Amino acid sequence: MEKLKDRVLFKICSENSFSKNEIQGVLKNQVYQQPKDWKVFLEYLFLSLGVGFTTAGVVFFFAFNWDIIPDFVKLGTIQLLIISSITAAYFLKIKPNFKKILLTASCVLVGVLFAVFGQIYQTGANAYDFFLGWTIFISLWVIVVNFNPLWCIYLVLINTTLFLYTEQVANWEIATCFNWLTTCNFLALIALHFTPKINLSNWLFNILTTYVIGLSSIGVIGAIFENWHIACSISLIIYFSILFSSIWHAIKTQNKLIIALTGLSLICFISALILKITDFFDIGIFILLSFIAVIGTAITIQVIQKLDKQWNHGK
Amino acid sequence: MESNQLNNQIHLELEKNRESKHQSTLFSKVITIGGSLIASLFFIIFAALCFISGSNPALLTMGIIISITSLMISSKPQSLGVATVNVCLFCIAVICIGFGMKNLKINETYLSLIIIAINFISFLISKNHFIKYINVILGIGSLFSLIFFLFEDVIKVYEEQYIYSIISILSIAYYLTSMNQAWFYAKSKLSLNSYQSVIYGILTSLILTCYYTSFESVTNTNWITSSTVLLLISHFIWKQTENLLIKDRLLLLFLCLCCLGCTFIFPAIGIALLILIIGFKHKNTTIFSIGLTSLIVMISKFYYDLNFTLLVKSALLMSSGILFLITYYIFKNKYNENL
Repeated sequence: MEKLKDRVLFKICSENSFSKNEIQGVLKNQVYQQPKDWKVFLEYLFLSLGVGFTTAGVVFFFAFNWDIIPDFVKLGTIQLLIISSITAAYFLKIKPNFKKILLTASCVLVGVLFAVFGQIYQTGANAYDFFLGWTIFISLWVIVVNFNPLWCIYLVLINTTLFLYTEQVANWEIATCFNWLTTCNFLALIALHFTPKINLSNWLFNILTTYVIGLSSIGVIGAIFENWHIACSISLIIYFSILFSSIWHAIKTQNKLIIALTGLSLICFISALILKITDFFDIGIFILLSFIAVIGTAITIQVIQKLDKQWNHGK
Repeated sequence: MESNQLNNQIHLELEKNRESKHQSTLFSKVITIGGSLIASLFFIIFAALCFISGSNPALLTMGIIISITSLMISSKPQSLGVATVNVCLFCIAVICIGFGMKNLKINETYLSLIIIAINFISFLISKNHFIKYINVILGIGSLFSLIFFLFEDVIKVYEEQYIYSIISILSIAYYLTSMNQAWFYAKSKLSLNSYQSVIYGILTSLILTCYYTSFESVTNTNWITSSTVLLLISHFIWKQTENLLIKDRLLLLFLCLCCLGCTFIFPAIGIALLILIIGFKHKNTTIFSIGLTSLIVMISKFYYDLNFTLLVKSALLMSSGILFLITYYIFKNKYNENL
């Protein structure tokens, strides 16, 4: 029997009247999870909890005995775990996704290895060096494994490295920091989305898009309130480039979420611009901004609905 | 039992859905919530500055006018654009009334009653799900505040027990509402249209109260919540295993209660698990994700706060892990698909 979604049942019940027993029967047989789904879920739940708790227990045990464990054993254990997970992923006959999970775990363990190495040898490296090394050393694995959660971890590492570089090494102004962060993430998004072999999933695409538009908005709003210099002009150029390319892509792929995000971003940008121009001269400016936000939201929705009609009419 | 008429309607709708592309509603949630937040943020600043300058009556008047306007708009079916603007207006009205009432020196009991009445009327009149959702949250908060102010002398002595009782009541309310979805759908159009808002409103109140108490120190007074949550989970397991033999049901119940043993001193884990299994049952990915995230956070918080050495924590974690793995093994081998 085809699975029924709750919203479909809701629509049917809103147009007709049925008894509680009838609706209960439909919910139980066609909407809610069936016994075989429960079995799979509970198996995964108990297995994940079992593995997670046992692993955490082992980690805590190592943490307790950390001072008395010889350095050779510390480094050796982590290296053994990395080699074991890679070997298991290569030789075991398991589902491809499980292999990718094992390789993701080994990428995370590389970071753990570097951290332990730094602690033992007291290298004195700052956090930026640690994250840079971790990012570089797993780059090839990330490309080969081609697993969306691993791409997500890799992008987090790149962002952390970049952020720590700006803070600990370069000491750039805020506008320059945001320019670099926004540009790198935007280029990463383009590379991941348009490379055919990388099957970028919806959730990662949505997260990345939201992040890039958010970063560019924060960057340009920060630039508006700073003393104007060349980096602020670059922020503006980057912001409008991202905005126009987002809208172009959204119209091409009929993606309403991107249009909603760009609409919200524009509302924030215009509000910041008004605040800067008026220089906070009156508390009444805030009620004006509030109504601008309301009107801007309404306009964004009108635009989306108009586009939606065009797209559906086109089909 | 499903009637032929209902089955026919279902087939028709499924046919319609196959023909039309499913429209994602994520963008509408993003724009509604985002727009309301931005509008409310500026209005809070404006209201705060008015409050500081002593313009409370003006704020209150404006709040009442905007809320009446919002209710009049939301009493009729609206397009998405109008609904979003309406939600923004309602948020602004709530902020205005909140700041406006602050210094009017109204007795707290009457203030709570006024807020309950406003939210109740708004809940009945409004056809907007998001406004109903806000009504449920504010209504629950005001109701418990009213009880607190009515019995202030007693509750102040047993403050922690009162907070944990709130969590118990919210857990029971959430469980009963989730398990009686058919009743809500069948009872009336109002209950049908309000069901989602009520569920999410109770869930939000439960989660917020749970997180608030969990990040305080663990006390001995949460046996109320613990017992309630364990009873609810046991009832859920019992209901779900109707097709099994009695001895299998009892064994499964026993295993689950053993696994949940540690949650007796930290009921937030049990609550997170309850949310997770209900979200899974109803195939609601939002509630499932909330449950899963809360479960991970609460388990981490529990073990972080334990006042034991790392060695003892390690032993506890490993023994829990082994228990779960044994449960997995028994479950995988013993039970067939007729769960």
